[in-house]
Amino acid sequence: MVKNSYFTIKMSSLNTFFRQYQKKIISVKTSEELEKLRVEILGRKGKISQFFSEIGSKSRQEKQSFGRELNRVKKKLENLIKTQPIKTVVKRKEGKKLKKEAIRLKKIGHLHPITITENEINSLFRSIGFSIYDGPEIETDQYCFERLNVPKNHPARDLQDTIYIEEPEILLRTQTSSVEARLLEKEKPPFKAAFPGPVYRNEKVTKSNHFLFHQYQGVAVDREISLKDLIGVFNKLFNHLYGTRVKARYRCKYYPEVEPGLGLDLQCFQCHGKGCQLCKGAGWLEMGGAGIIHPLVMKKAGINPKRWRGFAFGLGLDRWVMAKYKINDIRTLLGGNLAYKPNQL
Amino acid sequence: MKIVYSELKKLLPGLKKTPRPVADDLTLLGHFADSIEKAGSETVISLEVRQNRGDCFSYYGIAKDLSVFYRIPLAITKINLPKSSQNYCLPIKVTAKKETIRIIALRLSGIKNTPSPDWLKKFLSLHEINSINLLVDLTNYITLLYGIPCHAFDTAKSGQKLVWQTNQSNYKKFVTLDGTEVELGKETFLITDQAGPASLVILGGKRAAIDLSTTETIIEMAIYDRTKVRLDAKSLNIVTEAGIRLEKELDPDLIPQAHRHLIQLVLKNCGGGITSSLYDYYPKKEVPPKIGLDLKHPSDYAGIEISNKEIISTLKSLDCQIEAKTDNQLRVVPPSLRKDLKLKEDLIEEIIRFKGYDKIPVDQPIAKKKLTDITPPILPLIEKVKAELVKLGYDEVRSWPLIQEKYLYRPENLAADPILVQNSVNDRFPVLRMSIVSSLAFQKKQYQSYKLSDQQFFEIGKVFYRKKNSYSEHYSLGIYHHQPKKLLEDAKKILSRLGPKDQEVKIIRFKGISFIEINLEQTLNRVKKTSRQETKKTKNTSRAYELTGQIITLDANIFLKDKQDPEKLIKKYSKKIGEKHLWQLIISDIYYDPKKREYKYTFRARYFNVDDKTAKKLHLKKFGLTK
Repeated sequence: MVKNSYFTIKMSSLNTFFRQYQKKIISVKTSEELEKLRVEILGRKGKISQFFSEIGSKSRQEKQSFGRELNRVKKKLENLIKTQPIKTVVKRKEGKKLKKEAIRLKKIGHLHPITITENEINSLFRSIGFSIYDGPEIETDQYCFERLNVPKNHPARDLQDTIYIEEPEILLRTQTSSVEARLLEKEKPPFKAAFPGPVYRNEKVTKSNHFLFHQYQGVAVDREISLKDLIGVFNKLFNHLYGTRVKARYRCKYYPEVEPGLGLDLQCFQCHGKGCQLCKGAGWLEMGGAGIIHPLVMKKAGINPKRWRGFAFGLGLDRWVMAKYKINDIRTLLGGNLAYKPNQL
Repeated sequence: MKIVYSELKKLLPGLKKTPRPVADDLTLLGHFADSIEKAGSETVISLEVRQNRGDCFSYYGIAKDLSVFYRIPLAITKINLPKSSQNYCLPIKVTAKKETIRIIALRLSGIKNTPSPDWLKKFLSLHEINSINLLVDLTNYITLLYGIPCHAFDTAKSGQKLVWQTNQSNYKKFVTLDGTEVELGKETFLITDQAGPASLVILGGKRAAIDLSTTETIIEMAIYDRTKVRLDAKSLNIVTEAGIRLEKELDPDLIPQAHRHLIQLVLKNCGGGITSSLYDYYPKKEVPPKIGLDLKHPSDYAGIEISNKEIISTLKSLDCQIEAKTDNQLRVVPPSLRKDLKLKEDLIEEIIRFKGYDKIPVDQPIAKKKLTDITPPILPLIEKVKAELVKLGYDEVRSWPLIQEKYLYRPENLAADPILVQNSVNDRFPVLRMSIVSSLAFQKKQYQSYKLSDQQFFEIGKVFYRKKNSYSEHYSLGIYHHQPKKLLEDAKKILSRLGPKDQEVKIIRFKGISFIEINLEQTLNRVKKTSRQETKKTKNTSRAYELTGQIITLDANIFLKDKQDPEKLIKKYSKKIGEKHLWQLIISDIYYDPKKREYKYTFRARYFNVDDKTAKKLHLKKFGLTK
């Protein structure tokens, strides 16, 4: 090793530098101080860098000799900083990355808009003494049509294109009225029950049509049931969902399973009766149908229509839900692109 | 059914109301007016006719309803036709006796057929019917007026010997008026001549069609068994104005009036004369029902008082024959026009309809009388499971029970077969799901295509399968979580909250994704042994959105001198960006720069229903990153 005067001078100052900073590192108390010291020694413009820059103009041999010593000191100081007990805390607490995982607000779960709507309506009907009922989705022709006063080859069957499993007897229910037929047969009057559920029609799936949609049906059978009872229920329901300013219209409408039958319209909640795309210019939205249960339907279920009278109603939920949630494509309602914001922002 | 207002007024000269209120009244009466349109000087009301009433497919039927409602007379003049110049009996035969209710026919000779006058062309065009020639157009005009289809044969082509018969496999093909070749069924109801099928009962044929050279015609009007008509229309897949009407119960007693009116118009407009005696086949005259009506019942059904006077007045206006049995009992014979009036309930509906549904109070719902709760126990359980899952941060999805075959998942422990549907027009989805996992896998794929990350969702719905010859369905719960470990933990948590600790829960792998499926009917059986609590209401403050495009993710670094609560920062910037396009905001990294003595917060913002460019612009602006 060449020991020239430059080397001797620089080594002396390097040793002094090492001892001075060794002391400083050992005596450091906080993570901030240690980090400050690290930058002062090892940073881009720190002491070690300064030593390196000073040997730039010297001979190759001098550079090699002093450079080797300088690296040794640098390593020692680095190790010292690393091994300082406080240093570990500093790295963990205020090092480069302060959080290992992303921070997000609590994930919120959601019910489907159809469920929310069904629950709201269920809750209202429960409050006026209704049970909530259910029935099969695979049905027989008997319960889906025959018992509802729609015999084979009845023109009303054209309104409901059926998906068959075994034509003509086994099918996917086209209406929740099939649950009504089962309810009338199974339960003993008086009773009041409501039943939401999916129904199936043999229709191409497009933006506005689907083979699956949702109905909300209800039935009440007692001694003295009237259209006034029925219309009162609907008014209560519409007020519950849309407030007291909502306008409803009740008109005569034909359904084979009821007599008298009525249609339920709600003033369009988008244009308030002026006519818009949603209501196709009519100013009213058809919400469903209802009426006094046809005596033949009662008879077929084994209920004496002279002793008992009942009302039944059916509402289509999908259009309602789509308007409320500003959904334009019926396919969105069932899977696909209906999604929920994960957090309450 | 379209109603030209000026034509309606010809039948109701006393009608003073303008089209809009008339349309509203028709809607209340059961004829939903879905549009009112101006067509030049005419106003056309478009009615959606859904009734079981054939008369509603005619001006006559609609006008009759309005005449009862407004209590104004219906102007129908009795028509007397000139006598036949010849004592000629048409050699018509009816072999389809079971299928035929009434046929009336007459021969006219020496006529001159021409194009139709403007008034007739215009009238038909308002009903979206093309003008053919005067004679054909007049038959269509009368069909619209009375609702009873009629047909004219050119005797030079068809001859006189017409036969109403079912095919009996005699003929294979038939060419309709518009030149379409139709394959005939074994039992298709036909009108034949010596050369073969001249017409279907719901649509005329090309061979014997009326044209401008026609000088002699047989004009017939008929009503058939409506079920037979419907079956023919369905099997031949033909929808015609005649078929729509003939599928309903029409009034055979209206045929003479409608037929006379048509003959009168032909003679007036085409000249010529009647050269046959009237052929009238009506072997079994229908006897109208006699319906007993308790005068209290209309009020009982409506829930409002309807006086005896009102009841009787309405029934009389409807042309019912009324006979008093006792003080409170009537015997009512409905008019032949109203084939739908068969039961007392039908009469009650008429009385309430003309009284007005709008007279029934809306603020008196059914009494809150407490009755036995017949709710099946599975329903509260489902509600509870949903509430628990929402509490754990899961979103509910609802999907299609009909699935693609490639998504069919057969549960390991279910020895059953899948159920295929026979006739679905959506042939890509031919099978009912056997497991809810099928739907969840499809949903997962959908969400992935929208670049939705960190999903956790569930579905409760029916699954279906066939065991030997019986069909079964049950409610099933499917759960997905992007972290399978968490999925298992949550599923166990749910079951322990519900009660059953012994129900097995295991991860199912399908399409490379982990799911959990729980048969809720089995859960219910176990829950029964334990206590069942009331479900608390689930709050839903956030909303569902229809995604129209992929989620766009952008990062932003914010430098702050002081350390801050990250959640507060997320809320602060969320508010700043606004909820319209912000899907989610997270802080993906926090970095301390000791040199600058500042903290770097890296935000990851996810935007929805917005294009890349707009999202970037919004992002830079709201994070103050614009130069």
